Amino acid sequence: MMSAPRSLRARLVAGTIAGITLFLAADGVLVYVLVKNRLVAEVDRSLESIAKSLVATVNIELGRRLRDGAWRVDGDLGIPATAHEVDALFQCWFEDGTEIVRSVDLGNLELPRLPAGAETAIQSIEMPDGSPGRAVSLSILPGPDPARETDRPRRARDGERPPPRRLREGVDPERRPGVDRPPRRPDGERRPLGPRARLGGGRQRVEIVAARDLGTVETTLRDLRSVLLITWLAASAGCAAIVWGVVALGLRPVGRLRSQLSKVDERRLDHRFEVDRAPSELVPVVDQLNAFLARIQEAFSREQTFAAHAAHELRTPLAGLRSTLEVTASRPREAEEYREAIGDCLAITIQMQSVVEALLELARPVRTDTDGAKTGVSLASLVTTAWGSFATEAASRKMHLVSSIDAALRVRTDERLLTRIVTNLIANAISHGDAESDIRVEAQPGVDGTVDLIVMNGLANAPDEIAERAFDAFWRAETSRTSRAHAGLGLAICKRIANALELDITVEHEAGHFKVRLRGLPTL
Amino acid sequence: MRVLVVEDYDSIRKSVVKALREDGLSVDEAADGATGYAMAHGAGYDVIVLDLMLPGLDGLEVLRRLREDGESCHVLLLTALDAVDDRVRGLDLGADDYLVKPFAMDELVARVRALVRRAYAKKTPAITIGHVEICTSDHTVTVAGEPVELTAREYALLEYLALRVGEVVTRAEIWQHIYDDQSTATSNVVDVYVGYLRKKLDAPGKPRILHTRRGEGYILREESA
Repeated sequence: MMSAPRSLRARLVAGTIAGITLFLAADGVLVYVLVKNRLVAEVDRSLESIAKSLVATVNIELGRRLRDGAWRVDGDLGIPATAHEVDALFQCWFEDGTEIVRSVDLGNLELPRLPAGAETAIQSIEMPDGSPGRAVSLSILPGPDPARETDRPRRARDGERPPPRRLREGVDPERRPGVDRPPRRPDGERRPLGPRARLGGGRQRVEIVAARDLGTVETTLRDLRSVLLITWLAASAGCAAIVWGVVALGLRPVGRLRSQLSKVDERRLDHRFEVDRAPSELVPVVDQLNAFLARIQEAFSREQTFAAHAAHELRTPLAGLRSTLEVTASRPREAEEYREAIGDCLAITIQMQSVVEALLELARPVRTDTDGAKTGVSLASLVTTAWGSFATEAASRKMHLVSSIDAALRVRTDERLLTRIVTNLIANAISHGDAESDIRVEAQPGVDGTVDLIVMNGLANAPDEIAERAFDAFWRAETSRTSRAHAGLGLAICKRIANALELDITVEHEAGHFKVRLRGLPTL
Repeated sequence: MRVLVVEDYDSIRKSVVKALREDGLSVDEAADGATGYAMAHGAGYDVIVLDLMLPGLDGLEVLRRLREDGESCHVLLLTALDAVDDRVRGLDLGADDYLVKPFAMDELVARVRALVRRAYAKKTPAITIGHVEICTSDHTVTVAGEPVELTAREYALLEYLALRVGEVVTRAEIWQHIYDDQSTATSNVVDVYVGYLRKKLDAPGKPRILHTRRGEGYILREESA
């Protein structure tokens, strides 16, 4: 099974050419049929005219003789010369098959006797020489109509016999076709029928068949077919060439766009396609491409920044690890020195592990439980539990928890994820807050029956951009990597989890206090 | 040769200090920018190894303040930032060299040695004074073509005197540049070590190169026969 061409140009060209070719072919066939019908109709009209002329002649001549009581045919039937000069063959019989007259050009051949009536019947026949032709047949009862006998011309009743006008006006009877030899008998013998043609006791119907060879018409039609075929082929070829060129021209903007696209790689993501030069059909595509490129560039930039931060974050502990190992291995040392070096390396390794785990947590999508799994969570007990995890570190920095959350306050949320947020916030406050300060946690009424959870710690000095950049991965108010406990990922992770829970989280730094607000916790 | 290491990350600082001391340098250390600046100010260190990202006062700020104070000591920056801009900023502020973390300790020590030589206007690691040749890169010494074994202290003393060849070096200067804050030695040790060194540098038939200037100090110089 053939598949459709995948090229847009091939599809357009093939479709257009096929359509045009079919249209031209149908047009040619229509023209051919019309011309053929017209030509055949001409032949038919001609035949009909000839047949009527013959009928009139035969009727007149035979009628006259019938009235004269001489129902006989003596070979001079008085067929007008014009009937013989037309391009048609004819033959005339009594209904018993006795031939009355025939055209000279028929020679010894016979025209088929066709079913005939008073009206002309035209049909296709095979001519005696085997060629196609058209024939008309008529049947008449020669002589006056008995019902109209009283209407006979007076001069006929008076015994006057008016000469047939056409005979009188015709050429010499001896030279007339059809009368230069006696009519043929049914057995094929040529001799005058004489009295033998008389029908006993009554008149016989006379059948007349006139036929015309369609050879000329066929020749004309054959020429027409050739002309139409050549015209069709030439027109189709011409159309194909024109369509190919026009389609190529029309698709040039697509080619240009493809060429520009092929030049875009990760180093040229700032490239933008020109909308002004694009045709209107491609403008939406170009717009979408530009927007898509902008999104890719932004994502790529974010990825690069993240990777650079991650690499940078690992550099310092890695440098510590390498330095310690290199110096220790540079010469033989006391066992105590080796133990100390191993302890340092272990501490650094644990720090690197925590960084890697935080990175993995950032890289993983946050899995939220379904609504059905959301439970009532006591904020006060959750904060107390989270604080307990860092009690030792808080004590070493002489920091205290001051929680004003009502023990009865319960919120409906994913407990696991909210615990991670609160744990990170408290860890962040203990690590980065000013020593010997309090960490205050409170719940304030929010909008639409929600509450906002606030975690606040003392922070006398903070960079101006802290509110703007606090949620950036690896960003720290303190640029040094002295602390081994945190890598500047805590708030970034909180932001991701809050987004997953459809909560809003913001930070403020005012009057020496760093405040994180988690908004929109639905209460029970 | 006095070196100050200012680095907040414990394990890096400890390793660098240890490696430099084991190379015969007198090394002091600081864990934050403010302390580092206070120690460096007016102390006459030959080289300061300075981390960029320090708590409190960052490395670039320490460097800027030192240069503003007119300190001409050589500064080697340590940075975890490999962006060109960061390095350019550091060099523009007056740093002499930089090293990106993580680094090979041998390279750091070699760069510090190069900066020490530069501090004494020596471009090559080989110093020749009369019949004594000193190679500062591998710490080897030959006297009249024969290799001589020196202890680390003896070598450090010789190198310091060689870097200041032709100059009178006081005991206090020797003390500062050979012994760091960790040492519990007294100033008499300098005289003791000078005595040891003189014995090892003397060669039969060769003029003495290490001389004592009474009331001033010591001078290393080649005297014509």
